[in-house]
Amino acid sequence: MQSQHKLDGNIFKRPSTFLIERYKVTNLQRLANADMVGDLLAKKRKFSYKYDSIQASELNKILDIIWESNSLFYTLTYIESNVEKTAIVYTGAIPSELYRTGSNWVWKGVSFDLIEK
Amino acid sequence: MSIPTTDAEYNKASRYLQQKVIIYFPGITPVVVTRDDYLISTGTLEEAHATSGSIPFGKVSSNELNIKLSSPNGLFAPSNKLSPYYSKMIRGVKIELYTRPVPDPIEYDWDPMGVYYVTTWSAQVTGITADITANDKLYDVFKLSQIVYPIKREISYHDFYSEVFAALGITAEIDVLLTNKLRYAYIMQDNKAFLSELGVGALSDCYCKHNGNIVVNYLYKQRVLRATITDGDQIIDATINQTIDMSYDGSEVTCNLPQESAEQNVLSVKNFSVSASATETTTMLLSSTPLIRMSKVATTGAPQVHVINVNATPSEVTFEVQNPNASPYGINIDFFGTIINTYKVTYKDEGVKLLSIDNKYMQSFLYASMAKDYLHKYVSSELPVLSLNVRGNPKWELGDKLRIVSERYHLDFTGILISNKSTYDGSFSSALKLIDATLLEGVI
Repeated sequence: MQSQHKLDGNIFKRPSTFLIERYKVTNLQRLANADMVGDLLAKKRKFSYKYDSIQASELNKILDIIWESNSLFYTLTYIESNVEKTAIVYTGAIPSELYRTGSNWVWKGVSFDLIEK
Repeated sequence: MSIPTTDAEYNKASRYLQQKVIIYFPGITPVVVTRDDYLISTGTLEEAHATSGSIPFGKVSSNELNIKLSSPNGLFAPSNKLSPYYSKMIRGVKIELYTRPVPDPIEYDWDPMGVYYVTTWSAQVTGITADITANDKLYDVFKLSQIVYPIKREISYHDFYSEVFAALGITAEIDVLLTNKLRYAYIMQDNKAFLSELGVGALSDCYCKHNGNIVVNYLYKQRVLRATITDGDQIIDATINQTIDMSYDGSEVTCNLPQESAEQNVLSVKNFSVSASATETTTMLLSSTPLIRMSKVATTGAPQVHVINVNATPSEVTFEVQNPNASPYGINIDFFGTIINTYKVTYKDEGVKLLSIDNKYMQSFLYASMAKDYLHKYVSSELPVLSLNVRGNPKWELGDKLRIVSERYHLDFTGILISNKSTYDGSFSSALKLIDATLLEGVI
């Protein structure tokens, strides 16, 4: 089955684990009577990708966009409950552990977060 | 179709607010900036009167707006020739600030938060942000040349203010209650000093409203309660702010009663040099002021040398000296006229250190006694000014009467809003200062 994850329009490998976290960014504070109040600043999502193992060629497709390019922000397209959605995201750390070398390098434990701008 | 906001929208436990900044760059369509593109934060400081100094009214100051913008690729860097706004990020550019709840689904009108004019615009081409400081219309009034105004008799404060702002080409909202009359109205100072002194003399504050208009607000009047705010909707914390030196133990107000003097020498010029067959024009400050009228000019020391075309203001005289002779001459010139002399009457408490006013525009016993009574109550009050940190409401204006009810701070305080410092960085909040309304409303 073809991956439904794209970065700047480029399809990349379907992850082993895909996690969406949703946040309301607020200034929640307590009034003088201790009631909680707040201004909503924004709604933001965080997308966590994890690959138990991934071939170098597949990993490079991802790294070309989020690591090799000098751009800080990318357009992520993904399917959520049968609805295509997009988000402008930036990335955090991108750890990867070497699993196998040779003609087809394989990496394991690759994970990264794409955080909504 | 949008609808007006109400206080309830800004008192909700859960708010989702947005601001927009409209920048009127010269020669192009106004640029609207929101947090969806370049707006990072804004801050406004509004004051009904300058809080420097001890007198709690009258002294003018201009409101200030600070804006931080994202400036990708130097978009808002004044020195960036590649910016579409290059050469337009200059002093005097008009900026309007608005706030409203984010449409969800009701779309609300934008609430204006002032009209400002850029005073500084700073950003590095390589920087990622730009900082803009802007001030309201009064800032430029302060910078304009001193108003030339002929001395007038028996004119109301209202009409004096109206004529002054008309002379500046500005429409202002002058409080209709300012019917008390000045015996003599005249101007001897630069605009800021003059408006400050007139504000104290007229028992008024002069500032800009959110619609950008200058308003002159008479202090001693009953006001309609604008809003009540409580621990449960707005109040974050409150502090007692004793803004004046606690050592004042009374007040002193001096009334200046102006009268026209007898004719006197108002300027004596010795050995004024005029070239041969020449006419010299000059302007000199008078030694005695303010001049009501020039009555005569006397010259000695040179035959056939005459002073012509004499034009005098309350503070200076412009004249021409004509010398038809074939050789240069030096002459002595004496100008005579009548000036305003003031007779002082002081209302004062018994005390060691008195909060004092001695003001040339306080020309009636009524205003002097009212001012003295107000200052006396002000220095005697345990809580003349209340400071509050609140969630904020962009609809509040300086001069609004707000009631603060707080069980936590044991407060039931009704005050007049004299300072509002608001910030927006996605969330909105305000620091307020209110002066006890009973100090003002009890002396009418």
